[in-house]
Amino acid sequence: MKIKNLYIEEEILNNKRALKIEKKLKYENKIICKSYKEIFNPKNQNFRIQKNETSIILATKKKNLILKAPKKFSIGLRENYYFSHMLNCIYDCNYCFLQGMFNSAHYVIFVNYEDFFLNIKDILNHKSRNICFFSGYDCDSLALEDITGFMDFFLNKFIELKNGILEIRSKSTNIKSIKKINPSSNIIPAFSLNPEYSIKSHEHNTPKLINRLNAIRELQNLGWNIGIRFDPFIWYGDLCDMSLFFREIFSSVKKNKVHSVTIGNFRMANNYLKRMVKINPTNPYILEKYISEILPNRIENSIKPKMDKIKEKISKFVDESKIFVN
Amino acid sequence: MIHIITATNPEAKFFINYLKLKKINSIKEFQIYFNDKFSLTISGIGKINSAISVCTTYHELGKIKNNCWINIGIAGHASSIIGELFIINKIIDSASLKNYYPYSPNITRISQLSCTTYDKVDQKYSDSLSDMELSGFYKTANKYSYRELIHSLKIVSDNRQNSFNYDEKDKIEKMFEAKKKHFDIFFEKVLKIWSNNITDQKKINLKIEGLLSKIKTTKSEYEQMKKLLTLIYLKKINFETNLFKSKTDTKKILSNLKKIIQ
Ligand code: SF4
Repeated sequence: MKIKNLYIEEEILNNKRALKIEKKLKYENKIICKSYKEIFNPKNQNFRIQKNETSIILATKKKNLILKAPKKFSIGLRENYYFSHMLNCIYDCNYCFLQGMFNSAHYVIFVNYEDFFLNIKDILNHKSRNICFFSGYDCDSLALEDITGFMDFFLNKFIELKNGILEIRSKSTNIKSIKKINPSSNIIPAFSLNPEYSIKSHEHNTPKLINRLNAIRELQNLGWNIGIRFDPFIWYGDLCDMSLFFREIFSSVKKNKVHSVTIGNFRMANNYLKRMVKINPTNPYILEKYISEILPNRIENSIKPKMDKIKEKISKFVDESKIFVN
Repeated sequence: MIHIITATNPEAKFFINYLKLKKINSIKEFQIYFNDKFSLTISGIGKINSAISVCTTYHELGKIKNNCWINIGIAGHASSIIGELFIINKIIDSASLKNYYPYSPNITRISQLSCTTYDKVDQKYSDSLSDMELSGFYKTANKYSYRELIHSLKIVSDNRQNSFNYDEKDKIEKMFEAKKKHFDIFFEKVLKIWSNNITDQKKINLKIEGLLSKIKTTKSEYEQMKKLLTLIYLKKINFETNLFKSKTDTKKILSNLKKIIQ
């Protein structure tokens, strides 16, 4: 993989995993830093300019490795956490909140994978009920797997955890690490889907819908239960066509091997949206969203269908108890 | 626009001649030169002078945010050969021990290196270049521009074998002249990044400010109109600019703009 610069924290210069990752990268300059925050956190950086030529920062995550998930973020369990072994993503979705949340577009890879696992284990040790952990909140779980090898390390270990459920959310079709292990009921590979025209215009550099569906089928054929995520669901066509779209989706996958379906609209904290407009004022999609925030009566181009209507349509294919509105 | 900041006259001389810059005689605090694409300010030695010179340049040249800023100058290094040019990719402030990481374009024929800014002349030399301005320049320029638009180029003027002689002013100019082609490539790249990411937005902003200057608005009306007009220009929707007349009711303008984009 070709990147601009490789930044590395001085304390992991000789870390085996960092060295392994470094070998897979082609970079112009290797720059040593004290902490990833020196590069990642300063204000007045331009996420969009960096996105044209990104760098990788190898670091360790010291605090807050596993965080409580927002209340509505759930696939049916009462207690939910999230974690990210990486910050940022190789894809470039118009609606991605990371552009508003982070000052920098560089990819930070936290190499202390063991600590993520130990933290999860520690949380589970104190609980008796099932707890869900979402991977890929601040990144895409699988997109950079060939470089990070995180899932390769993690899945074998997680499979042993009795009351832990892991959701691996992704738009990537890089499913090698999942195929290496036997299907397990406590690991849920989950794929985000949208109509192909929305993918083309809003989910830049991501795999096509057909390829995502192929990846889902491939894993289902191996015995995996798959999560399907329409979140955010971006629909421009008319509502009757939406039923056709869902028919197409659910006829391409094995319905009895669908673990859950989640649906959600575009939503973003106003301060993130404000920042996105500031750094990317020439993106009509973001500006339009922003204007609809400040002028709520304005009708948007994309139809914002009611979530319960979408749920109703999906429930023709999947049992209602498996559908969650986020 | 690119704002160049150099510490001394000999470091500036080559650029003033090469870029055909004219002096702005009305500014007394610093010598500032300019043409339509570049400005050059001679800051004097030290990080405080450098910081003030950035601030003055910004205020004197129209307070325009997100222009490009480049600190160019000479620096010492333990072993690099005299006359070698570097792009700086890490700045270490020796007093505060704070680090900054400029995000400059890679150019095949120019190596990259770190530079340490000292408060006093550094006689020890190390593997990091040494100067007396860069951290002050960078921190201040970052108040007015994105990090990706702030850069530094340094030419090695002295090393452990060859100490620096301030009297050899012509030699400094010649060192810069010898790297003319490299500067050209660097400026071109920097301007390309700037124009690809910033100028479109600036053109639209200028048009909008032109329209909004004709009417009286509250702060919130101004912001709303600005966003709506940006979207209208981005979507290339034709509209009647006659709307913006001093006596037109601002509520009417706002409601018209909303109609236009619906
Ligand atoms: S795939 Fe997810 S994390 Fe990546 S850019 Fe798109 S929304 Fe952001």
